[in-house]
Amino acid sequence: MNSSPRTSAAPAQPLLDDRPEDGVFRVHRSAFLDPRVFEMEQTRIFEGGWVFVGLASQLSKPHDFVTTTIGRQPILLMADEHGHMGAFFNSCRHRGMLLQPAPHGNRRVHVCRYHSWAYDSAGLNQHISEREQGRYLPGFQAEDHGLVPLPRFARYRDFLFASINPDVPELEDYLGEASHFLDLMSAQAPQGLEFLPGKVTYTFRGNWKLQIENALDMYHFSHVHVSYVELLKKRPLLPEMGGPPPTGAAEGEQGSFSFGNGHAVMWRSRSRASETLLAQRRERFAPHMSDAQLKWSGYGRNLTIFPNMQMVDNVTSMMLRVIHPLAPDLTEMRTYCLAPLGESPEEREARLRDYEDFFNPSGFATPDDNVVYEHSQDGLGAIGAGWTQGYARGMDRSDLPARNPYQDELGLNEAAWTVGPRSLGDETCFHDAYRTWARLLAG
Amino acid sequence: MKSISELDAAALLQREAALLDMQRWDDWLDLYEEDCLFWVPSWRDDHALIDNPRAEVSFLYLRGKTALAERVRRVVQGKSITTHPLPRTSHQVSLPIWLEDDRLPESGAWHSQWVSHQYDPRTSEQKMLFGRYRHAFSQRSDTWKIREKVVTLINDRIATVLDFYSV
Repeated sequence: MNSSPRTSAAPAQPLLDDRPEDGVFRVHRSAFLDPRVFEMEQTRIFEGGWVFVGLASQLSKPHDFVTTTIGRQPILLMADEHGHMGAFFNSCRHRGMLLQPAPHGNRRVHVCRYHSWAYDSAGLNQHISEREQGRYLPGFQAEDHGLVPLPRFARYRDFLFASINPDVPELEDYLGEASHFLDLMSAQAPQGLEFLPGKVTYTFRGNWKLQIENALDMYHFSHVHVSYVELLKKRPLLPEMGGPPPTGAAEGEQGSFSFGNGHAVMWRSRSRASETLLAQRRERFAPHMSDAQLKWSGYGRNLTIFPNMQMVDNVTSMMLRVIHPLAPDLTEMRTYCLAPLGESPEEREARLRDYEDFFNPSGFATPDDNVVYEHSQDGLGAIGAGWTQGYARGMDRSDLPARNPYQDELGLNEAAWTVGPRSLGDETCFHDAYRTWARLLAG
Repeated sequence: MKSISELDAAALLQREAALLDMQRWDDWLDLYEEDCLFWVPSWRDDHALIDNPRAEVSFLYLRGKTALAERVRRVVQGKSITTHPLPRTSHQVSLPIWLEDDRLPESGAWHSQWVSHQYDPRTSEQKMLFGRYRHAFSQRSDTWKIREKVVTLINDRIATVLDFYSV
């Protein structure tokens, strides 16, 4: 394990060499290695702004709860007796003990296991043990003893976001035009989106930004995932699911949109989904969609909502992953099979098998990415080799039209974009995440 | 229908562990029935595994020997970076015991405990996975085959990769 801390006086400056006028975009290797950069990321990015915390369907019944973390801070999400959702620090007001250790459940009352202070599902303090005998001063009596709510908590469609920093824009402004692609996910689930049961969490020995890059990186697919593609070619074609990814003349277009605030989507116009599968899905959601949404629901899409959420819609199955950095060279990933509520058992089973095949750390694609991150992390340790050259594909825009041919149908006005053949392997869609990252680190 | 003897069941489990550790993949595959099940369920809760692989997420749900053969081919072909290099593994498997269970077709199954130590020869990293196996066997002429292997993985936060050879 290559984890020796880099201990120069201050983080290398600049970490980002962004000179559009000179055609230069470079990220310094220490961005992936330096523990002080990691500390700043935790404080200023993960604990400093909006992050994804869960799905609304996880709190669908009164008293449902979910625990998670924002950066390094434990969080408790609850639905109260009226179903109203709230987000709180998961820490007893008394001595700060973790109030609810379970990952999820349904509880009317949460009792601290230390001195039995109790809170209801609205976060209000219900009980302070032996309060009368406790010789508390009036000042204490006058204080609020409820759980501390997070400064910001908001829902967009099926998705819940929270911020420890109160000084952030409204969620919709933060999401910007990326919201169109969240709309598209929710539109495929007229009854709502859910996480299918079964916890899958894994780690890789690499920096979290390698994951940010990879999910937007079409360039790596035919190189890293060749064994998966060959395996699909050998399998009998499943009419209700699909065959191998399209190649050659059938491979279609690829493109990306960058929305500001670090959000981006990488799309491709063809997927491995069969016509039967597409027809089956459309039957369920077409009445709830615009024509453009119906068309784009058949496109493969990898969406990053900076900094901690990525969704991949391979059309055959959808995954949502939450990025939880633990150290400069260690990242925990929580991954979920995302599915529309109300699907038939047959569709559900086919979705699961496709999901497990591709996305699981025991599948045919994700483990290859994880190992790539680890070798990347080790290789990036070669500080002496200077800047890498991994952000340059797609920077020459001289062949591109003035306007994106699809922005009108998608209702996009501000998003940066590119479009090209599937082999384009655009890397400019990483730029916005790094610009946002550098801006937030600068404070 | 506890028709395999304890001795034969134990011998088959030790054989499976040895063949995995020696990377004798084809011999390992030969231990399985054509319509076998190899299943590693995920955990729904602290102490409850998922029990419906058609509606809940599994780590591995491999139905039929061809699904196992796909895994073996990936390892042998060497086109996946995950297999460069494979870890060295050492499986320790306890003696199996027959436990009655009315929910199972044979009214019971063979249960054993396992530990799998793994060592990455490049990074010198070690990891250990552990859990329980539930096996069901079928007799084909004079040999016993594995019809079902259900793996309970106790330490389920996966470090980088999990595959059939790791459990």
